[in-house]
Amino acid sequence: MKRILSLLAPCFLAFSAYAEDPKESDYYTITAIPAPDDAVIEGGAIELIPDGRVAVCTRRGQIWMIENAAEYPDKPAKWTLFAEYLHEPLGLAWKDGWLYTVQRPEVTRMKDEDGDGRADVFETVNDDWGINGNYHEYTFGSRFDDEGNLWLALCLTGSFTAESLYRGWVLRINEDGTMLPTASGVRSPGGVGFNASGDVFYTDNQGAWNGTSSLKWIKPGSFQGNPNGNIWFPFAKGALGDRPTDPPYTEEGSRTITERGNISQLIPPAVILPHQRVGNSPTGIEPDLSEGKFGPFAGQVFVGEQTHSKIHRVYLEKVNGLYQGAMFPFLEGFGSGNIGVRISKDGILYTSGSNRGWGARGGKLYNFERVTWTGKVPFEIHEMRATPNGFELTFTKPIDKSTATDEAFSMEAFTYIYQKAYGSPEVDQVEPTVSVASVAEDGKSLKLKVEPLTKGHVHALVAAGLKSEEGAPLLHNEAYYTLNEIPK
Amino acid sequence: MKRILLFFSALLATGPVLSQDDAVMKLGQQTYQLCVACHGPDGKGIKAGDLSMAPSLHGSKYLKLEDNTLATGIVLKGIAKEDNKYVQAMLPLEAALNDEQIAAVIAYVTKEFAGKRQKVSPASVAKARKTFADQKSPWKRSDLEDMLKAEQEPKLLSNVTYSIYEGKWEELPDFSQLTPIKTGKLENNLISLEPAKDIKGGFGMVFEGNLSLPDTHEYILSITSDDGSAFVVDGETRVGNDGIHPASTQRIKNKLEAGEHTFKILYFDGGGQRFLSSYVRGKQGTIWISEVRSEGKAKSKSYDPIPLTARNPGEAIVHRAFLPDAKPRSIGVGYPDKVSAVWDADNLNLAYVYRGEFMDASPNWNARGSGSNPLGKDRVKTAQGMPLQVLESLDEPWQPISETKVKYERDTLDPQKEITINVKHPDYQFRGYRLDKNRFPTFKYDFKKLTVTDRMNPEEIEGVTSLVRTIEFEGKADENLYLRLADTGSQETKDGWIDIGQKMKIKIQGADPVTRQIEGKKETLVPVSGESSITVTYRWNAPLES
Repeated sequence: MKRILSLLAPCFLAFSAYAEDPKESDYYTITAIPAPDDAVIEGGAIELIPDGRVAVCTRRGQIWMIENAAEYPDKPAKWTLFAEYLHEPLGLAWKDGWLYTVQRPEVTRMKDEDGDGRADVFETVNDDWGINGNYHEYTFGSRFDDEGNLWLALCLTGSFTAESLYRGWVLRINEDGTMLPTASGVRSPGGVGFNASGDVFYTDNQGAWNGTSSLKWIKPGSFQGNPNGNIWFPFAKGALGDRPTDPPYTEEGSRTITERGNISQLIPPAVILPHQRVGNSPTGIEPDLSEGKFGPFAGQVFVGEQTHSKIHRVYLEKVNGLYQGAMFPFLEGFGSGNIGVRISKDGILYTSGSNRGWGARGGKLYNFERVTWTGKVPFEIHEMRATPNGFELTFTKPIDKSTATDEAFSMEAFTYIYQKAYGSPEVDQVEPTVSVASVAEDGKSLKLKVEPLTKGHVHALVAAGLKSEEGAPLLHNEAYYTLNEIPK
Repeated sequence: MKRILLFFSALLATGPVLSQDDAVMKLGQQTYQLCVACHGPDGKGIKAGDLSMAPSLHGSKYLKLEDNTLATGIVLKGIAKEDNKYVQAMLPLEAALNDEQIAAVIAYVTKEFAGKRQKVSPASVAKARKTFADQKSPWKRSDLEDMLKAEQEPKLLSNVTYSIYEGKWEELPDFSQLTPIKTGKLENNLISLEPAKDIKGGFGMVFEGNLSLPDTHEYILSITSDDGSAFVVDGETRVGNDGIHPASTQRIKNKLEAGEHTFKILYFDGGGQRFLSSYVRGKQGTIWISEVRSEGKAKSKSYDPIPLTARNPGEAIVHRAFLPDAKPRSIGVGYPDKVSAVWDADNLNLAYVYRGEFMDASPNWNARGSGSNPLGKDRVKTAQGMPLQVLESLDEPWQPISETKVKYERDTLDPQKEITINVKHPDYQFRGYRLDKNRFPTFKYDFKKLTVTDRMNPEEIEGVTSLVRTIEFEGKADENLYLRLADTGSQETKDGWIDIGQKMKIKIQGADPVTRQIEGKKETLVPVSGESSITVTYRWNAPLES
């Protein structure tokens, strides 16, 4: 019998171009860039310097400048220590010859005036928020927006309470040193960043008032859901208007969709990242502005995942004035817990992170890694957008239309309890019926009819049966769409 | 030969031929005579007044176990006397009895007093001798209870096999590409490095088998290793703990379904210490899946010190971290010549100076980071709180630091709580610092219309390494503005120094100091004018003792 099978095997190969399922590594290459021996690169944020250097700040308070990060190993990577012993910096941004960093206590801008490669000027740009010595009071910072603002997301004290000024808020710090309170309701952020159109998002971690982790849109003036920081409204001098009504502190909790009706400032997570299913701890946020150099996902957003040592891919759209969209698995197998994420115009994704204090699957204490596209287009769901009666999927490659049957798809929908308790189980499960409504002539998109669509639910799609024209299954056949609004 | 002779002589003495089992029981009964003095002929324990000489063997949980290892361990090592519950300690019998005698006495007491004869043999006793070889003193009852708990808890793993690989790695290799030098089965279904004990130098091990979980639950999977390891369930790495490192623990929550899973534990040792332990924590609590039931050294909260030293001789270190006895925005400065300062960017003021070694960053750079630990000694607290104030008269007290109370509802509407928070003083703004060629910082802040710079240099003054602080004021100063330099001691001495207590004197140049006693504080103030400079020398009364 064994012999017969081995005789048949070449025939199978002849019929199918894919002897085995496609692998992520066929399309994207992860390269670890080795750091100097005595360095501990527990990366918190990454910035690209106009002269081509890559800067990374670390949880130990160092800032390194790396030359040839893109060229390694063809050219040796050269690491230069720009600054050290800073206070756990988690933001890095370059502007007009200054390198800005977001330390726990302040936004600092640095310059190397004497030209020895080490910063010697450390100017405090703004320190209008509180810290009290609790390790959990992290401050994450973005790059600059077009108006010269850094966006800061301030973790709660101990991730539960707000015992220092503006804990649980998003602040905008302008390069002129002024601070503008921007949003409340933050719990425990992991990163702040932009989408391709320059709107600002942050990741928030599962915990009190967060049934699961998610990517949240920082709409100025919004309340992101955790009421503990709302005690700071009297200090904000009306910048955010009146304090939002508290969500119910009852044992049974509520649902975000319900409370949107009661709390006008409450904004739902743009993209839910279902806890445990896709990760445990989302971090850095970065749009792909490389116009195709990083593969077929130009304009989409990439999100770091610390615990699972992964990078997610996110498609965002605005429906009825709110952001929502789909999360797709993208790449796993990083060396440690990714925190900082940055994509260059040349289409190189850099990530760096740590597993200190919070374990990560990668297993190493820290990583500094680069992701490059191999040039081969993976067969993936490219976009997943909501329609009045279902979803439209586009693909990176034409599909085999004969495989676009109702049976090729399955879907479950669920949400989470919006409650003071830590996290939430998946609740209010719905099993919608999925049918293929139409397939585009070019095989690059199709429409699914989904009955029912449930507003406020994550719609978890599995397209297990779909094949490309070349006969390959999807590289990742799962997508998680957060349906805050149903388009009309 | 001797053993055979003994056996025959026993046969002769007892007349009728005994079955092998009867022979064991006979030997057991004979051996038990050693125990009778305390446990009694009936195994119920000899009474001694209100107390017993020893516990009754009838209720013993250790004797009711299927496996004889623990009972054997007790006979071998004895039990320490930790309280007055029993009159006697249990004596260690490992030297007094041979394997046959111990096997026989356990068989005898379990059959006679515990209701069911334990399966025990001289071989299993010999094995127990090895297992407990490192136990050098009698058991504490708490150790025994822990081991009993381990024995009774459900086994999550089954069909556990191991493969050992030889090699030297700095991170986990792809074991699937390697050929093991040895494979085997772990009968007790607990992960153990024991099978690799004879391997010198670097090696790797892969354990695999089935993992059976009672509930669908968010389990904590924990793995402690020296060096690298990974915990894989159903083909997916759930916890990574890779790389060369001392025993360190990684724990990650994973939602896992009730029922059967496959697992793998990957491990490598790159040389030096070896350690591997792992547990699964679910609804039933912590269940160890390794023979070693602790997180080893990683459990301890003390870390190897990470002393901070300057990159180049003659340079200072500026270290921003949570530091004791200063506000959270504190900045440690380690100068050459073993003098250090902590400058407080919340209060815009020097918080303290000290000497000796500078700083241990290990508490800050391990785990989640709790702040650094200044080393050294002879710490002198300089004037606490904000540095500047307008005093209409010298009877006006110094303001306390800037705080406010906030009414706060923690996660529940009732009861309310009031918390005190630091708020920035509206008259001050920190502006950062600039490093000179030796990396010495000059701190800068605004006070109303004044810009203040504050820097220190180490300098030897009359045989003592001291700190000379220069404070410069640019811009316009309010009338009657004072700088407070000390809030202790403040005794002027004849030679122009001011004794601030704490075994330190200071000397002020550039302004005439005022000393006063107010609200129990002995203060040294200096009047401040715009476009001026004040120099303060901080000199310990004696040189640093090594």
